[in-house]
Amino acid sequence: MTEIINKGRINPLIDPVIEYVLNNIPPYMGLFVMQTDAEGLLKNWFGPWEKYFKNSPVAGQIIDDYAPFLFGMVPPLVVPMVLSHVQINDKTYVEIHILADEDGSFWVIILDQTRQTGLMHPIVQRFYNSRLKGKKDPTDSSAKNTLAALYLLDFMTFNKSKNAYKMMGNTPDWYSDIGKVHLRNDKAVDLKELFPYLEVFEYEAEETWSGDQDGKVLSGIWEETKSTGEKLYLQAYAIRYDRRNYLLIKPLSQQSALSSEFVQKAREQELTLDRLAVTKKKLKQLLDFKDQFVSIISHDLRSPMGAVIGLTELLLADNSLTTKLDAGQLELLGDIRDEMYRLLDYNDKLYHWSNLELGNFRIVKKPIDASKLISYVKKMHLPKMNDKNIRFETALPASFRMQGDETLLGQALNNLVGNAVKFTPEGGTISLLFKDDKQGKRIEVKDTGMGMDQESCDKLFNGFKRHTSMGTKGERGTGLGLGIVKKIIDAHNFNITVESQPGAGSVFRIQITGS
Amino acid sequence: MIKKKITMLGAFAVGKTSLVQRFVNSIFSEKYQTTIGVKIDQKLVKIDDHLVTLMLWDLYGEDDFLKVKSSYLMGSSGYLLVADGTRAKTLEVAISLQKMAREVTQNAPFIFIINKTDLNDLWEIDTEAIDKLRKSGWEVLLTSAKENFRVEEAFDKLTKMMLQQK
Repeated sequence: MTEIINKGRINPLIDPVIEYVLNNIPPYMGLFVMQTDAEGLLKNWFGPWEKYFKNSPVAGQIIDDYAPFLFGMVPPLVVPMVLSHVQINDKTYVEIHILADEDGSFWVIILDQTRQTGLMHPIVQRFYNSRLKGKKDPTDSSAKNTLAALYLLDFMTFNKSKNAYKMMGNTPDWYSDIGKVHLRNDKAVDLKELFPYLEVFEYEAEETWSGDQDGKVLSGIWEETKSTGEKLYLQAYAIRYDRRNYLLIKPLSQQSALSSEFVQKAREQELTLDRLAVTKKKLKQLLDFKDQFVSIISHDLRSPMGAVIGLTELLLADNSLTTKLDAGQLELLGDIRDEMYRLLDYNDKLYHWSNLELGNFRIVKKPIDASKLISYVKKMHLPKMNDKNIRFETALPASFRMQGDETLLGQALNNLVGNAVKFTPEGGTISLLFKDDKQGKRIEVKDTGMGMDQESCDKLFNGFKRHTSMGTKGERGTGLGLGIVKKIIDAHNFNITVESQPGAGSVFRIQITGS
Repeated sequence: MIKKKITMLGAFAVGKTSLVQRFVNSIFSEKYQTTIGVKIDQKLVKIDDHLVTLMLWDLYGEDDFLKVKSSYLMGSSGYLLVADGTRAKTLEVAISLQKMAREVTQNAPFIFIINKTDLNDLWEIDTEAIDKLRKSGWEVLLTSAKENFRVEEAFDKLTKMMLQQK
């Protein structure tokens, strides 16, 4: 053996390697030896390379560029590293030994095992078939080559030549979970039958496979179902490496599962938003229906209420009747009239409220005579202010000009002053002030009433209030007044704010813009 | 045996998977489970004495972030375009997907399915829109995967259309 090696290119062959070859390498045919430096670059070789490779080795070439099946094996994890029955091409099985010497060189010794494997194959196949019920092909043992060993990392690997696929290595565990047919290495696989999704991916992969350079392309995701009913997402890689074509299939990682969970959540959220939008639309329809109903009813109730008030007024004005009634009966009749007025006021506010909610009004902005507004409001509340001995102050600068809807603004100021009268005690003061100065054009309704805390101020304009406060003389409100004011002011694109403190009165300020 | 590929197309959550599962496995699940990638099922049907294996490609639904790749339609003999009757915007998605499918499949036959007739109260796609599509030559079917309403008819009808096409 020493003699043979010395006739080759390996020189000098150091003693420990010679010793190893003599003691451990059986005298098979086809001994081929390669020596690399510490970086894995080829230095020397000996033996019939043409038995295993298409080309001759080149000094300085990376060893796994020359022999891809050695990828990741030089330097070896253990020394010596021995791998048996490694299929390095369609027909050839080899045994590989990898050694390291004291000078930092690596030695790769390759022996032909094709014949031995051929003899062993049917025996081992039968043995394992009986043990594993034919699930695995044991000849595809752990290290056919780097790609074939990828099943250990959950990949299924196929070698592609022309239109035929052959599986390399074993099937990973997930493959048996999805209940597909048993695969063998020596038979071509109808991959499109096995995974119909690959029919489409093949179109994309063909571009890479038919290219001149190494490359890879990743497929989309497809879904398979495990026998447990659980879903399994798979993805394929088409690889061209060293003029050979491969197809790898791998289940998606946990990270991908997380991203699919994210998509699921995002879509569920969008569906919820869609449903909310539909509910909102329906709700709006129902609210409009309610407002229309209230508007019609409150409109139709005005006439009979007015009639009752009119009749009561007639009775109270009829001396022939009133002289026959005692004081208690007269008071009762007066109470009927007053309560009917209150009911009419409440009904009117309901009517206005529902129409404002429905948007059944159009703002007609015209120059307003503010003095008319003051007179109107004063006229409306003077009797009650006199009753409570309230002083009414007004201010209107001569230069004050504004535009707005006189009727609606009159209604808004009427409600604000009415509110002030309700909450101002006897002897107090209410002011209706039109101002135009550095702080802009505005109308203020100010009182020396009981005032409110901040929480009450914040809730003041939020539409209908279920519980209203009683006035200083027990006056009751509708809970709609300030809501109506807010609607009218908003419709003008003006702004209304309130400043108040308990016991220190309130100021309602309408800031006028665009007039 | 004849083999035909049918692709399911439509916006997300319109019921593509439910229709396939109803047709292939006679099951329906109330729970919405988004489809990731593609799920391929097959079913053997007999149409006019022909045994046909249908390869059903259930694609993920399209939305603003996930667009359907046209390559999935390659080799399709026909497709089912699906919208959700309770979400009018899924009709727009279906119309835009049909343009893409028409080109890739070179005018392969298709049926437009408006699914979820069981949710009649929430229906958003109006009759005029459906009539307009029918007038433009679309075959439109209203189905319910949940109530198994006209599901088999949709697949059978499309299979017949595909067989006539050959």
